[in-house]
Order: sequence, then C-alpha cells, then structure tokens
Amino acid sequence: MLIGVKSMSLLGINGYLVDVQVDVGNGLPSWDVVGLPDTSVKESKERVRAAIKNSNFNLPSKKIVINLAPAYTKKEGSFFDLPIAVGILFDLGIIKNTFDNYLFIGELSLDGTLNRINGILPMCIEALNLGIENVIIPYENRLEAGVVNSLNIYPAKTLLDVVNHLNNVEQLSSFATDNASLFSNANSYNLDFSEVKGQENVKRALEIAAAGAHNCLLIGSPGSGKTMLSRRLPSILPDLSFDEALEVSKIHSIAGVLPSDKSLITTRPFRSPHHTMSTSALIGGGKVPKPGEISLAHHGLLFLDELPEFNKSALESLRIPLEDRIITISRTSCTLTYPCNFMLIASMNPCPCGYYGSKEKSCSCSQDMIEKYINKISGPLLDRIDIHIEVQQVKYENLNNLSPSESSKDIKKRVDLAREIQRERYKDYNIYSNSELTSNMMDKYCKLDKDSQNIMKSAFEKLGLSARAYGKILKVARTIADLEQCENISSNHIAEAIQYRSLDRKYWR
Amino acid sequence: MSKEQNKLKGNFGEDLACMYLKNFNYKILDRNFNSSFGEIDIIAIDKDEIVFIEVKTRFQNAFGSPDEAIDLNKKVHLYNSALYYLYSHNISNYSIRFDIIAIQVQNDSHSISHIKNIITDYPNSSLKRRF
Repeated sequence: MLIGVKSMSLLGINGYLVDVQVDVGNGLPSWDVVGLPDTSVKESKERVRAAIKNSNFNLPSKKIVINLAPAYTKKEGSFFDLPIAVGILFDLGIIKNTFDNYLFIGELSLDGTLNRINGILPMCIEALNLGIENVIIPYENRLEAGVVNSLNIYPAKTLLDVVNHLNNVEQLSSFATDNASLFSNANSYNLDFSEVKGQENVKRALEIAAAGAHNCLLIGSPGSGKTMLSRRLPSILPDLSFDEALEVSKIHSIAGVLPSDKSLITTRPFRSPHHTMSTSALIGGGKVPKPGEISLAHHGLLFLDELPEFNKSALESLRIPLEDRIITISRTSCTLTYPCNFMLIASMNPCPCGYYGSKEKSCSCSQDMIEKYINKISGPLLDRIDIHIEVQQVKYENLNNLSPSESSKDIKKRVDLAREIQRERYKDYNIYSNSELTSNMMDKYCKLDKDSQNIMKSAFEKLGLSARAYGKILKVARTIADLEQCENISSNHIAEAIQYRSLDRKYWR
Repeated sequence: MSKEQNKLKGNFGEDLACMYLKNFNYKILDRNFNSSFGEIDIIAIDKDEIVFIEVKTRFQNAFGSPDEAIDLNKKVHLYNSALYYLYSHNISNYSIRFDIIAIQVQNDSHSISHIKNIITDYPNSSLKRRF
C-alpha cells in the first residue's frame, strides 16, 4: 500500500511542505530515493534500516522506492529519516492507523532514537499556515517547537514511541511553552552604562542611536572607551516584541545557533565578529547560502570593532544590506533572501598610531599614513552611517569621580518612550523606527520650520552633504525630537543632528 | 584437488541443502541455473517468496567459515543472475530473497547454517568503496 507522509524542508528562512511517498513492493530487493535528494538524504537509508531493525521491527527484503515531492527542488538535510521510516512501517502494516493530519520531522540514529535538528521553528510556523494540526518532532527540539502554541506538538524520544503513539498504544504527551513567561526576564543584561565614567556626549549619541535604530560610528584614540561603550548599547535597546523575537529565532534556528535550553531569543542579538572574517561569513554564503552575521544580527546590533582592519570587500558588501535591510544571495543552486534589519555600530582609531586629533598625546603618523588608513572606509559606506561621534580620552577628574552616572535602566526608559511614539506613528507602514523612513514618509513626518531650513541649507552647502546625508540628518533630528517628545522638529534638533554628521569633514577630506 | 572433485563436493553440499530446505517446506524450482552472469545453486519458493540460494560447502576450517566466502562480487553475480532468471521465466510481482546455506563437513557429521536475506539493496560499486 502506498502512503504519503507529510514532512518539511527549508528554503531560506521558510519551511515548505514535502510529501514523502513510500512504496514498498515486490521485486528484487532495492532501496531508491528519488526527488533530487542530496547525499545526506540518500544516506538516510542506512540510518532508517538500522533504526527499524534496532526498534525490533522486521524489515523484509522488498523493493522500496521513496519519492520526495515536489520532485523538482533539491532536498538536503537529515530530517526526512522519520517520515521515511514511518512510511515504510505503515506499508508493512506495523503502523495500523492513517495519519492525515500529522507532520513528521526528525533525524534517526542507528538505535532508533530521534536526534535534534536545525530549523524546527520555521517548519512549525509553516505547518501552522498550512493548517496541519499535529507535529511529531525530536524530544530535544521541544522547547523551540513549543512556541507555536496552536499546534499539537508531540516530542518523541524514539521511533518506537512514534509507532506506539500512532497505534494508540501509548499516547505521547503534547508540549507547549508559556510564551508570556519567556519575556518576563528578558532584559537581564549584565553590563550597565553606569559603569562608564564621563563620556556624556557619547552616551547621548548612543541614546539617540538606540532610540531611532540609527547606525553609529565611534572614532577615538585607544583606551578611550569605544568598545566599552558599544558593548553597553544593548542594555538600553528596547525589548524585542514577540513577532520580532520569532523572526530572530527563525534565523538562529536555521543557522543552528539557537541555544538548546531556550525556546526563543528574547534579547536583541549582539554580534561582534572578528575583523579577519570573510565576506561570505559577514553577509551569508555557501553552496546553499546560510545566513551570515548581518542576518544573525537581525533586529539587533552588529558591532564591528576596529573597522579599518576589516577586509575591504567585506565592508563594501555591507552597502546594499544597510539600505535594503534584506540580503539576496545568489548561487547556482538557488537564490535566497534573508532579512538583515540590523543596527550597525562601528568603532575605529583616527590613524594607525591612534592619537590623531587627541588632546592628550601627539600623533606620530605622517599625513600619508593617516589618509591611507582612513580611506579604508569608503565614502559610500560612511554616508550610510547616520551618527558619527568622536570619543575623547577620559579626564582624570572623571575617572576619580565616585558619584555614579546614569544607569542603563533610566536611559532605556527614555528610549522606550521614543520608540513607542515611533511605533504608534508608523503602525500603518510596517516599520518600527525612524531609521527605516522612506523619502515620501520623510516629507510627511520630518517637516522643517523656517529656522531649521536655514540651518539645514547652510550646513548642506558648507559641509558638501549628499542627498542621502540630508535624509539621514532629518531622520536623526526626528529621533531627537521624539526623545524630547516634541511633535515637530525644531532648530535645536536639527543643529544637534548636523553636528553628528560634521565629523567626517575633519578626517575624510 | 581437481576440478572434478570440487564439483562432486559442491553437488554433495547442494543435495544436503535441498533436503534441508524440503524439511522446511520449501519448493525447489531449479538447481544450478546458469547464465552469463554466473550460477545460482538453488532457486526455491518459501511460502510466497522466491528465494535464491547460494550454497557453500567446506570440509575444513582453514580458509575461514563458509559464509565468509560471499563477497561483494559474488553478490553482484547473484543479483544479476536472479534478475536474468526472473526475466527469462517471465516472473514478476513476487517477493524476492537471497539466502546462504553454509555447510560445514567434519569427519562423518555435518552442520548446516541458513542465513536469510543477505542482499537488501542493489550491490553496486559505491558499496564497495564504503567497505
């Protein structure tokens, strides 16, 4: 008897339904898998055969044909083991009941236990969309899958458990996580801005960056606290919403970096890759493209420390994703699109020795060296960074100051308020922050009064700003106004925003 | 030992195997079926299953046990010969099995071991590389 067993495969960040058709028939014993399987799928026959045998079922010598429909897409991964085994056991009459409304995902080990697999979350979400009610998954994936509450998730430890469940011998208990409790202890970040002495101007800039999700570049001499400040930025970012957390967890699930003791990623990701990384590690790549660091930083922070040390081509590849907030990676086998709505925070020294422009120490670099160093960051990339800020060395008086500075908690309150205003304002547009504004939305929400226009005009001419920089200034000004809970942008908002763009004139000439 | 003697020895083993199979209600269809791919010692029916049987007879243990003598090449021959047999006799829609009957002769007594289902997949060269 022929049966189709429902299973899932992955394409980008979404699952798609695969119908595993198993035919066990007469003829010379053979085992064929068709439907463009790759090696890991073909190898399933050895695992399935051993797992069935070691679960104490008899596997007679038959002609077995397995089709993975739709047959025109390439399948990879080991999660077809369970549906194949279930299909064979049904054909052999060992599983007696049909299972129309079940989805099976899982990798078998030789002794018949089910192993943890990657990408369970997007598969379960797709199952929900398709109206499937019951999903059988490996026991170790239960926390991840349990987030999709409206499905009956049955975590199974062994193939035998699955068979007993389907035969109504011993029902598996369904599993669901309590999604509200996931977010209760979400923001337990152990770094705090109160640990940073002085640097009030930088903290202010980072607060604005956090409030509007603006990209940010810190320039300063060694030891001035660039890295220390950047690492504390996640502590003032607003909490992830459930939808955002779901999106982030989906990407992490596919990449296989979701921690096994967690259901969802509930804190904003903070990715700080080393500067020796390759272009494909940054933007994603591989024969079947995997998400890179920028996608893993989706809805979070990408921190590039020592920006000029990065591979030039890696940095330039950031240009398009910074604008589009998605990355499309093309390979001969497939073209995939991953979301990458991240906030870039970068830090760098102003010159090779690090002290150019410092008030405390003189720079020992030649003009040539400085220019060569600084020009590793191209104009187009710089143009896409909204806020540039100079980090000066901390004064002794500040270091010795024992009175605590403002804590992250207090700053976060203001940031949350500003984000709330933005969310309310853009609720019809499907965007979350000022940095995502498009040009016609800017016309509507970033209107300037006469004073502001005058300041803007002189700044535009004096600093030789680009059209994009003009837009960025408006967005930053909008965020500053939101932080002060002002309806309209006024001249002091614009002035502060322009100040965050004037720095590149000092270094880049 | 001459070829003649070898053949006699083989026939002796195959006779023993046939008697053994008949005890278990197997129906013998054919013996020593020859094709260009190789020879099949016994072809029998077990209930509704066609069984192709390779018989190995050993009079001494010096060269290892009899069932060790079936290697991948032998399996390929067996599989292809079976395919040819089914085709030439116009048999289809039967369940098919490959067995070994190993006979160990010692002095006046002998022991028979029957190993069922030795081929579960097409024995191709990719398997050879793996082993």
